[in-house]
Amino acid sequence: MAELLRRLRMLFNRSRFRAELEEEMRLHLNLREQQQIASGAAPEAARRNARVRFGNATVIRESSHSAWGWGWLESLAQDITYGMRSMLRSRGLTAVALLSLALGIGANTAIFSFLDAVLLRSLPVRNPSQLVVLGEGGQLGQTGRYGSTDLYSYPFYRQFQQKQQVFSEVATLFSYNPDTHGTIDHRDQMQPITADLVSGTFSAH
Amino acid sequence: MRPNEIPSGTLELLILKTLGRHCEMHGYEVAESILHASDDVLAVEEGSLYPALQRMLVKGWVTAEWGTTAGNRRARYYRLTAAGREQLAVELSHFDRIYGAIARVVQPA
Repeated sequence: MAELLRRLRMLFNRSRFRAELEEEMRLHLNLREQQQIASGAAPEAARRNARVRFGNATVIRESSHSAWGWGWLESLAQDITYGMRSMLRSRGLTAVALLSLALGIGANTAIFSFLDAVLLRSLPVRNPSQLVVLGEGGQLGQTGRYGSTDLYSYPFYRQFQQKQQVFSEVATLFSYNPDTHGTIDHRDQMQPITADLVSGTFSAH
Repeated sequence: MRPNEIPSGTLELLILKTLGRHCEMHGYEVAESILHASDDVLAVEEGSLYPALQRMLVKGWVTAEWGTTAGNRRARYYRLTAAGREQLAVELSHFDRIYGAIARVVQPA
């Protein structure tokens, strides 16, 4: 944690960091030079010797800088700035690209939102997890078997509705849903639709 | 290996020990101290001290302050922190263990 704070402080003082390191390195070279001259070397040889003993200054600057771990961030910032500059230089191309992206993303989002509301969320029920379907239905209103648990008769439904104490409301559905033709919303043309026969209590909750 | 090249990983140990021995030093003094303490055997590439010192600053093993040298020049003085002393002990024990083992292996039979 303390390390992160130190590193953050460096991040916001990068130019001062660079200046201070430069001064430090310069002092070191000068001191080494002086020591060489004091041991009898010529000034030119002393300076060269000091530099040789010091090593590659650029490499040292780079590794000192990267020790703080912000190299990736600086690279990223440089790349982004370069990208922005390039984009601003060729404005026509940038405008066309942006427009295409906007249209593509906008259109897709609109279509998805529409389908999401219509198709995926077609049950505006308060507690969908408390909704239970008994049976399977869909047998065109008839079943040849006695005691079928796939399809229930209307009298059974009425008795169930009156005597049961588990559910807040009971409705019927799926008992007779053929594919047929009809009109929706007062439109002119008939279109194929799938209808379902439901009890009046279907839309109560 | 170049003659008298310091094995990698021991530079930080040398710096920590040098700073531990003296209260505060700047980079040049550290280099000179290592040189003299080793009877001129360990001539570190002097610039490599600075990235090492920066790494130790990041990890909090040393702190740095600007001061003035005897010759009236501005210099950054480093001193060991408590965490630095702990790290020095860790590295010393590691060093003793490894090099003791190497010495045992290469001992004339």
